[in-house]
Amino acid sequence: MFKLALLHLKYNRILSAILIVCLTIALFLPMVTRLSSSMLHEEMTARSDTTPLLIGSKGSPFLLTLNSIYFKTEVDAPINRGTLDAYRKRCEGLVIPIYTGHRAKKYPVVGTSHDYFTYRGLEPAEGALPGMLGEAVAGSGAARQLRLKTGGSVITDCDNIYDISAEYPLLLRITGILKPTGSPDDNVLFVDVKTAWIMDGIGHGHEDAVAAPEAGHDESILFIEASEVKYNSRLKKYNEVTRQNIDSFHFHGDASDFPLTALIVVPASHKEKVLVMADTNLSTDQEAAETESLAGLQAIAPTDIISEILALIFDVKKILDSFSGLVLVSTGAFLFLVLSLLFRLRRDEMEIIYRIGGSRHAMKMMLGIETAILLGVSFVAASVLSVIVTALARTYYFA
Amino acid sequence: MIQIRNLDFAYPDARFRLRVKELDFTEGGRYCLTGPSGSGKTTLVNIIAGILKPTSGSVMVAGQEISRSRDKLNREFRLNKIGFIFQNFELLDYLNVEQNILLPFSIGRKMRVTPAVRERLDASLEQMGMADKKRAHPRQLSQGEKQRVAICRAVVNEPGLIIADEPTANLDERNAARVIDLIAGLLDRKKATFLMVTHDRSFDDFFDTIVSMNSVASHRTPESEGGGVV
Repeated sequence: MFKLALLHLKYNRILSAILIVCLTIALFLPMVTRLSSSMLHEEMTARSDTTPLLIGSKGSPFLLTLNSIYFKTEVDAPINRGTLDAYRKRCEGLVIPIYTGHRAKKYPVVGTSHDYFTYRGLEPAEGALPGMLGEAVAGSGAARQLRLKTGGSVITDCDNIYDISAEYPLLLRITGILKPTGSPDDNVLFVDVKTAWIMDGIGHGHEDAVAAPEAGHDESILFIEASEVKYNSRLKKYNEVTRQNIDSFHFHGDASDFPLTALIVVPASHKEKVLVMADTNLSTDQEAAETESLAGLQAIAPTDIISEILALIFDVKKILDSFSGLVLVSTGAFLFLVLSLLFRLRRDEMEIIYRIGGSRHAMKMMLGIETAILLGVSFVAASVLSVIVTALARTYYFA
Repeated sequence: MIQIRNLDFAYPDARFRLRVKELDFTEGGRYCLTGPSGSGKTTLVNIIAGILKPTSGSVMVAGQEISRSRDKLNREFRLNKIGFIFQNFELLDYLNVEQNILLPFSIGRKMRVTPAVRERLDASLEQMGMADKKRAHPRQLSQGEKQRVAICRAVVNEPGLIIADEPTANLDERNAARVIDLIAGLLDRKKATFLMVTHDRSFDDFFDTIVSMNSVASHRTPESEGGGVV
């Protein structure tokens, strides 16, 4: 009977295919919603659970979390290097700077310290971590997409090509490719935070400036006024850090004012975590003014923020689930109708089989087998499709 | 081969009633069951095949009491011992010629397609001139070809009894003659009992015995009340 059922489905392949497509879609919707939401929950909490505390400027905690953990979106306002120093002094534990905002060929360039690699367990699959200015290590996904290799290079994006006063893009030398982790770190280029400041124009390197023309040199100093030196456009600035020109790179201004996006704080204990949160969030304006480095800051536990986001997403999922349920019920009713009609159309066939010696029960069983095959194939197709879509979503949004 | 005694059959709605007092068909004989429409020819062969159960009386086929056997036994009996040829060929559209012929083997749990069965299948198709149409589906066949496939299906498991219900009714004269010739050729080798229901008297020479329903049975319809046992 199984063979007959298969032959019937094969002969009526168009009808079978239509039924399978309808059923697959009806099963796919709730399946993919369930799988995606569970993936989303897993991915988001896995990342947030391993980030105990984030310090950033006051503003949206959602944006701070998305920016500093998932490298998405921009933050409202930066913090500064002084804050990093202050937290390193007062906090027993690890304090890691994060500076985002730059991109290379659309991929985020994240400035941080070596502690970040140790803390996240990031190791190079080839090459080494950045050791000097102008060097970068690429996440596995970014390296694959941008076809980066150790020893190769990538140029940072220019924010606005029509802004002639903007900093030139910096050519980053790739020192290594990180092992894949299945996390947002895979789609990022990491540099030392000082390299990120060079991209900002806070630090730069250029050839020696000359005040008076000499043989083979043009005048490159426009004027000198008090402590300020203005150069004209003939002064050659380096857009790549090399062993030959690295000594010419220097930073202007007060180092404690250099910008950062956030700090990842890994306190030594839970008590320490509570203290840091309290010091940061509960300090009055006056206290904050006294301890200048804490002014205008917020300390957040990414797990709490992600839980809030997920609660919102799961509310939406409930609505989607009810829609999927309706689709499933209507498809079930449609299938019942189609099968009932097919059952009627096939009465003659049943009669032939009965007259030859088959049982009426076996005929019903054959129809049951056909239904089971259709449902089975649709279920498998919907499952495979859901897994593929979820994996693609995971790759696109998280990896 | 077949002994019928004091058969009484009525449809549940009592619109038709058939009575046969005594009727025998001997093994290996070729019988033509003839009579006007509504005389109960098809009803009688359906009773012989165990498809319909008589109200009373006895029907023995190849030593088995068909009239009192359970439906399951009768179905197995039909599957193994009886070959059916129907007026409308009754082929399944979604099966090709070969699969249609081997249909009894797909239905019967204990029936296996052995090399001997395949040999018989090939030989029958060869004899019917259908060897090159093994993979064709019924919609690709002419009426005559369909009936030849139905004949192959009826004989593929070498039944002791072949029942043909108006096998030539839907065929033109030439195709009808060919079908009868083919059945004759098969029966010459297989020695099965052949029982054919037909209106067509042009093939009387082919049969050993012509059984007229009017002479062996009484039937009653709402239009012809009062028939009696012959």
